[in-house]
Amino acid sequence: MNPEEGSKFTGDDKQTTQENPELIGLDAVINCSPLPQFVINRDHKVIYWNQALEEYSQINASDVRGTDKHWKAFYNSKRPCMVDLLIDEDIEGLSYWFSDNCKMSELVEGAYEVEKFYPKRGLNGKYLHFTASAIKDHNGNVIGGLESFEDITQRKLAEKDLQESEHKFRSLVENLNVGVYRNSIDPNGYFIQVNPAFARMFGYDSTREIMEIKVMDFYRDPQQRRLFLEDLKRDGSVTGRELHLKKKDNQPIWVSVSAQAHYDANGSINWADGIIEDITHRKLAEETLLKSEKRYRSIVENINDGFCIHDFEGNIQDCNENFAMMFGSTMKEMIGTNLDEFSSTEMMFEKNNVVGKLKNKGIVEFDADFKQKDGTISYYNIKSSIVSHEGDGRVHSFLRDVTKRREMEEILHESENTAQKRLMEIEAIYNSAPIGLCVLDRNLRFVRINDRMAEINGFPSEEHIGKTIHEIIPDLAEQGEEAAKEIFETKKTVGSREFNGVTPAQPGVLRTWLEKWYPLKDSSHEIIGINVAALEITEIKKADKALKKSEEKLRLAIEGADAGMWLWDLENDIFEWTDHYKNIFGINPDPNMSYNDFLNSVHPDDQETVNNTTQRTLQYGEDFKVEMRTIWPDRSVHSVYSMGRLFYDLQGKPKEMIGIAIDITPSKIAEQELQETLKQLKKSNAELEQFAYVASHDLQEPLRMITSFLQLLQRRYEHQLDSDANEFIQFAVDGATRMQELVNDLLAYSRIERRTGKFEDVDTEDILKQITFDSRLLIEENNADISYDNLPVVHADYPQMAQVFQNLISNSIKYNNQENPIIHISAEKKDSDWVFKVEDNGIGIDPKHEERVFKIFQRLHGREEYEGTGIGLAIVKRIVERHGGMIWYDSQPGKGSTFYFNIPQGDMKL
Amino acid sequence: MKYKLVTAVEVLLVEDNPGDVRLIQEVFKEAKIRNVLHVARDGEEAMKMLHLKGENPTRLPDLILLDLNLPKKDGRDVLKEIKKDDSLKCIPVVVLTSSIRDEDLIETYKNNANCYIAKPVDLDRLIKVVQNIGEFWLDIVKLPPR
Repeated sequence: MNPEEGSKFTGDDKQTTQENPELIGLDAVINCSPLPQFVINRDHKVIYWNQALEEYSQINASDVRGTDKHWKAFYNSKRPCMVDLLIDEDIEGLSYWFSDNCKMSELVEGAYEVEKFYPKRGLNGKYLHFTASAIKDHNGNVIGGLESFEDITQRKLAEKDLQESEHKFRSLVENLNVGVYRNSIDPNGYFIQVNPAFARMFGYDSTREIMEIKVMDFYRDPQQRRLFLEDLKRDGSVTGRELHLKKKDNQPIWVSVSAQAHYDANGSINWADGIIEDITHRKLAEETLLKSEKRYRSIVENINDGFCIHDFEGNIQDCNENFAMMFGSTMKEMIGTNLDEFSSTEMMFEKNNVVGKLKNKGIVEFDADFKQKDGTISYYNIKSSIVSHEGDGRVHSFLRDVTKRREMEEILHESENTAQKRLMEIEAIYNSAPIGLCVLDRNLRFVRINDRMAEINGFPSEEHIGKTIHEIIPDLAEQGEEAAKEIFETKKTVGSREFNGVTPAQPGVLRTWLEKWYPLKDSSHEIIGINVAALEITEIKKADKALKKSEEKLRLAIEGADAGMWLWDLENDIFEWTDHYKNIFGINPDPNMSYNDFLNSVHPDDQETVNNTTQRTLQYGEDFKVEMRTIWPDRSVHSVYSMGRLFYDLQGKPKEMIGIAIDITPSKIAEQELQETLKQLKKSNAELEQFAYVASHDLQEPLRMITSFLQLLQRRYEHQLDSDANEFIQFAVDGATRMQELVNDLLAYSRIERRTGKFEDVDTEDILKQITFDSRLLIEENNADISYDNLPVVHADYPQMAQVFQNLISNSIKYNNQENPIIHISAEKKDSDWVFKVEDNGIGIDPKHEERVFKIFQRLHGREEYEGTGIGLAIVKRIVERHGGMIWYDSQPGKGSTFYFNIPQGDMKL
Repeated sequence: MKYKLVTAVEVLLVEDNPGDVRLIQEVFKEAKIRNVLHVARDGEEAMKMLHLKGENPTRLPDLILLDLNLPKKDGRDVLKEIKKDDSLKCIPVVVLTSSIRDEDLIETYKNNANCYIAKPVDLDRLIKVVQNIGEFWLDIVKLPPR
């Protein structure tokens, strides 16, 4: 039915009551009702609109009566009110328009209620409770509807509050695990009463269930119940007894029970009332706490540090044994004391601002020294952390004995100082080292460099730092990179290696260095840098080149000279020869010949000598010189003379021996033969001399007899003998005398070599003086003039030199026909010889006598002409030759003679 | 005081060569020195004679002429012995020898011979030498008293 349809009935009280007699009296009732009400007829037209509603809706009854505009009081747009729907018996519409808010009234049958919140009404919105019902006649026909409402805002709010608090209360109650009970004290008794909470606590559905169970059955341990009852009987109450009971499902439950006994008139207990609280969680928590505390305690006990719990003031609340031991005390003694008491510095805590830091950061670490019970002081490192700020605070502190550490620190400090000094010394050494040193990082930047290296590079040390090798020494960078690469790859030292290039120190000049690159590793053996050492070998290289050149020259020269050259590579033990080897050893050389191979091809008897010589050369660097024999394959023995020298490498290590070898076999043989001959000669000479000496000496004796007695005879008996006899005797005497002279001369001649006189500095002028004095008679008799000049001091045998001059001079005087024999002696230095000259104006020497002049006993004249034995010049020659010189002459018959002889002044060894 | 006027000189000649002995004798004659010449033919005989004579000091010789090369006991040893013997060392010893060796010369003087004379080959010279010896040792030189 469309509510907007107009209705026959308009708002007229009378009319309404006339048509609806049942409604008479109703309007008075309605009007007086304090609750806003209105009535509509079957046509949805307002019949009644009470005052309260008027006031509420501000719509006059007169305006709305007879209309269907009653919705205006409640809604902004037209829609059915509850009563509209009731009249039409539109229950679906009800649920549609009023959704779930609408329900049947419990109080009035057929009436519906709805509660709704109207936010726009009033200040903060209003809660309105509508009640509507259909009005039915006796027959049950709907004749109209009544709707009233009530502002239940207040009530609602109150209800809401109540609900809330009830909710709170309920939850409180529900969570409050407090059970209440009453039971008998009979051990086998039951519960008299329990509350639902009790039931819930124990997992029972209802209290009734519990009542059927014995109290004892709740206990796990019956003994506990008995004890409980005993205490209750004795004390009348038990407070806060913790019991371990079991729930319905046998799960354990911890409870706290407080019970009060009830006495009857006679003073005996009827029952007990108690409250029971589930403390399972608490208990579990306690247990867990206990466990963790146990574990925690065991940890604490087992750590090596001292551990204590204290407040902000340092009052010790708990500690472990170590802590106590640290102070030479016991745990018991320590608890309650204050940390400051033990500190040797007063107010340790304050000093270190322990509390402040703790509060600030929650943790703090500091060092302190503590006095032990026995007075010794130890050092501790303390780490504290806040556990709780509340009250006096709760701090956990760990103490570690660092006395040793302190000592070590002292020592370390000392050694650090020393190390520092050492470091400075090393720095100084490093810096002033004569070889270049530097350190490069992984990117080949200079990290450190010494003066010498900086000098090599041509920049001040400081300028190097941070720059790469490319920037400083571009010409050598490539070689440097190669070396660095090798180091990074092999992780081993590279070198010694030659680096060639130019540095800015000497632009355009190619120089060479011998370098070693070392990897610098950290503690985990990772390469963090490179250490470089560089030695300049430019000059050495030059010298080496020159050497190589001259070596080559030498090689050619030697080959030209037909000698074999050998080279012994010491490092690889390889003996190299030129082709001339064949001439030395008779076979071609083995290319891989070692020193031992060579030694084995030497004559066995000479091997030791050769090896010894080699060893001496290797050890002392002596020049190698040795004569040895080799045996050729054809068994022939050859003599070899080998000369060599040891050469060293750039680092002063023996590198190689180089030498030449010459076959001296032919000359050797000849020499040997020569030696033999010489030996023989010497021997026969000696024998000869000996013979001559002995002969002449022994001949003297008989000769003397002959001569002497003949002369005696002459003397004594000259007058008694006839002339023949005298003549005979004279001949005999002459013969004997002559023989005597011969023997004398022979003796003298033979004694020339036998003389043991040493050579000394002889002043020849002195000799001449002596001779001219000694022979003054002879000189006078012959009217001879003897002059001399420029006579030197020579190294010679004095008496023999004297003999030389004596003989020459006496010859000059003898073989002279002149009225005035003139003899001149002089000397001249030629090279290292003194050449003496004895000139006379004597008779000269016929060339045909050339061969015999110096021969012994060879006279060039008869006895009648000149006396003499012919030994004079032979003696002179012998003496001169003994001095290493020679004698010769210049002469022509009738033109005088000049005799020359030289006396060498070099180091004469005879 | 001229010994040669009063008494003849006692000369001990130690010489193994008979020729030389006779020579010396004749030469002393030629030299006109009054002498008693005692001759010992070898070193041993010389020492024996000296020691014998020594028992009577007045019989020791005024002069000893000693040859070096002697049989049995060498003249060099005789010289040494004489010059070591307190009773004999004052007697002048003239070594008269044909040896021309330097060693002999040096050794002779080292062993305190009074002088060394090489026997001259020439007779005249020998006479001269003996004359000189006589003059020198027996006339000029003062000999110790017996």
